[in-house]
Amino acid sequence: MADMDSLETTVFDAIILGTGFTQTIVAAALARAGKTVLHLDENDYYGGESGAFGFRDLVKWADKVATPVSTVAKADSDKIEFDKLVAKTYNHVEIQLYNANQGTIIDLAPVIDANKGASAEDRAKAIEDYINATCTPTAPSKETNEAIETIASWAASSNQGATAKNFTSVSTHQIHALEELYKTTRKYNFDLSPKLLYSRGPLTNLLISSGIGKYLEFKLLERTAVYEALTDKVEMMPTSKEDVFVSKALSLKEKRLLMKFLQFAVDYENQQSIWEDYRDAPFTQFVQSAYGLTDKVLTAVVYAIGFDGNDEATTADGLKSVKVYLQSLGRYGNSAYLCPLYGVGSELAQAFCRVSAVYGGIYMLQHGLDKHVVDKAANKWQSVVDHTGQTLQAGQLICSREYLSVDMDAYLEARILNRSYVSHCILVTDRSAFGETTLCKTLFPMGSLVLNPGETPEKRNEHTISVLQMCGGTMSCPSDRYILYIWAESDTADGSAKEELTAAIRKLVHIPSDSRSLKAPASSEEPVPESTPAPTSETKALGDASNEDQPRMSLDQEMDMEQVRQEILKAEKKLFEEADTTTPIPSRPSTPGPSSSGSAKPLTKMFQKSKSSVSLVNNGSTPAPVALFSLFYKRTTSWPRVPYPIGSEKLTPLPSNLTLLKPMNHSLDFEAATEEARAVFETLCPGEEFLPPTPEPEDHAAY
Amino acid sequence: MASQRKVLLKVIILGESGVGKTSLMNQYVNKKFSNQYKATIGADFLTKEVPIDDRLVTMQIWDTAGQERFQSLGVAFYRGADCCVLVFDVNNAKSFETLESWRDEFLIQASPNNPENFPFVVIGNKIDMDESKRMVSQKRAMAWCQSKGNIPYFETSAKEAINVEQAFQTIAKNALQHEVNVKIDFHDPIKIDSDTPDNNGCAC
Repeated sequence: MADMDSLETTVFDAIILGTGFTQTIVAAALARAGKTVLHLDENDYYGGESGAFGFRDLVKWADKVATPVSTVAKADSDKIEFDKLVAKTYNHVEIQLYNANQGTIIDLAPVIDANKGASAEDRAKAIEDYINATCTPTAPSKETNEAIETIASWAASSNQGATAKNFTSVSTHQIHALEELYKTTRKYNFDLSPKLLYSRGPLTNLLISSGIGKYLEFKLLERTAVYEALTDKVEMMPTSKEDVFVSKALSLKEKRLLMKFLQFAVDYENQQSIWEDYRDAPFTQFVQSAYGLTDKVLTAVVYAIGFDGNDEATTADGLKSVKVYLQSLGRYGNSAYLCPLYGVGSELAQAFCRVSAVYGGIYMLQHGLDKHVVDKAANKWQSVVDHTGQTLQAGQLICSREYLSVDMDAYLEARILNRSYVSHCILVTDRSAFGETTLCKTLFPMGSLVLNPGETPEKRNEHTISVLQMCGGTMSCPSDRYILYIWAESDTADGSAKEELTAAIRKLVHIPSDSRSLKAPASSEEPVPESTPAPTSETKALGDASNEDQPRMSLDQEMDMEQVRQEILKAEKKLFEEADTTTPIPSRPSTPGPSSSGSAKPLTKMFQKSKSSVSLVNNGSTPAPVALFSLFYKRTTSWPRVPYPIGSEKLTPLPSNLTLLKPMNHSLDFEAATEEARAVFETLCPGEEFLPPTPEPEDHAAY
Repeated sequence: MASQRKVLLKVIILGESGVGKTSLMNQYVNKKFSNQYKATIGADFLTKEVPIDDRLVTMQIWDTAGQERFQSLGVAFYRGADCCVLVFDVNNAKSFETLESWRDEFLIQASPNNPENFPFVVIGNKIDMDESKRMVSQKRAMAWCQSKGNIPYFETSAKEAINVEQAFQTIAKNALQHEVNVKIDFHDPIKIDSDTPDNNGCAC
């Protein structure tokens, strides 16, 4: 029978610790290849650093990782200190509950002072009583009490935990806001490391070929916007061929150049002579010099189309990204990106774990681990001892850093030369930052923002800041709320996530009591229904499509895009003909695009879905979203680069049968992690097929 | 119209390890049974076309794939369920006593819109075993089902194919009822034509 006893007597092929995205692919691939897999996680949820939480669990998580873990001064070198290593991974954790200058302000400083000597718990109780006595909520719900209790605990430990520093006053408005968040807690699926999938990228292809995609549902990303420093505007980018045609902001000449570049990029591998000289040069340089693209087009190509998160992309990297992007367009609609519902990485992790379980993988969440047993002489990992003292053995150990022993972690640490981090922000707002567009990605190119306006020396964003807006349609929040995920790579532990990301947030939302952010909507009491002046049929169609009722997409619903392709070809031809007869054309934003000059009917119809492409966001016609809640955190992604630093070989090397997986990177997609998982599998099971198709359920032998 | 659209019902089966969840599915869908207990391997979900009141619906029955053994079923497993089947072994008192927590777990994880009316079905399996081994009486099981809002209760033997068909008929019927209600709740009447295939984000 399947109980704990049999686990101790089994020697598994592999024990996998942690259910982060990469681990789960490895788990699925190993189990699928017939290996016996025991998969453990200390957390009570799947996904590890890619976990997804409801509101209540997000707050709990933040508090946990923000609280320093007290440990034994000199821990046993084989000890696993999971909580400590997790807490070490996250820094600058900060919760903000915004106060829109409404409601009655309750000053908490006197109660905090009066209870200075008391324990944090007693202090919290005193503050809670004080709030209750001051605002005497009428008919308080369970969530009202929970909100007050939470606020009291934040105020009680003002300089510890996840809350904004010096939380010394609270307004009744804030209490209501928090109460509302608790009431809708399960409508949220906050993603700790949000990402997207290319519709025709390696991960999506793997999900389809292996059959694992059947567990998932998706939405298409609608648009990509890029912040342009020169104009101080966040502008929608032309991100598909159709967009290019209808764009009114691009001149015919620009369109022609862009189209020429895109046509080259689809087939760049066969045209090495064009880009060979630029292979290791920055991608931007190649695009500029070889294709002479103007600034506007350059931004579209380098950021909206070719950017996967890497600011140091070489021409080879950039072309690869552009190609995946172009291939992905049209597979499921007029966008290159898919976004899973209910949170991204966590859903993928669960899908892979399910496959692993279907093929015999044993799953134990919330399983405390004590220490590793290593045969030091043979440099082999032997087993892991859990919190019950049970010894779990396997031929191979696969884990992420948080599961290393004290010794192993010290070894890894000594090999890290360059520190790297990802600054994250999860922000809840009351309306879309992009008008009718609800599922949208935005990039703030490196150097485009001043992080410390008014101060000297000026500090600019050293890395591109990515923003992903999710809506109720992705099942990540209630339908009247929006989540903005903001993140960027960072090279230093010093700057807080808040310092590094706020400049971008200011361009998209109104942050109460931040005068540099967008202006508050006229009446912030009553959110005005989106009142764009006379919605055209175009915007209407787009709005409709983004609604919750838009049919969800499974990977097997691929559309027949042949007709679209034909139409694009026709339009291309037309475009080139027109461009030829009218060149040279000065850059005139009002140049009518070919779509308005009588193209074939099906084409016109097709274009109706793509909103006039280069359009301003927040040009004043729609009120700015108001920030309600945010969580900032900075995650360590530091990792050794070979060659290892001299001197560190004195430390005990990692066991030969241990495979250590990298932390999730900052990129927009999962491709690096997917590639890593494939490589690990191929090392462990040489010659075996990586996640072959799963047979139809009926084909399984019944027993 | 809506009644003619293809209906897919998701049914999930919960309960302690070894109560016969996979066997019940297999008996119902494949008419097969094996005496050999093997902790579930290779079972994902089974599908069966079921006629209900002149309609043919597709029932997709999801196995726990063994992830229930150490309470490690992820929230994704529960999503979109139209009916939840709670199974226990009538010869194992503990498997009956944990039904309550399985039901709670389902309601928390799946968080259906209308938890009071969500369709559950309870199955007491392995009635083919010797009567002397029986630990949970029919009366006790029925009393519990009644206290939870009259959950339909069936006593079955996956091995002998006793009552399995009947239990799943009820499961299918209640799942369909739920599915229809949910769809009415969710469907914005203005978008009644959104079932047409060309509404997948491309207007071609």
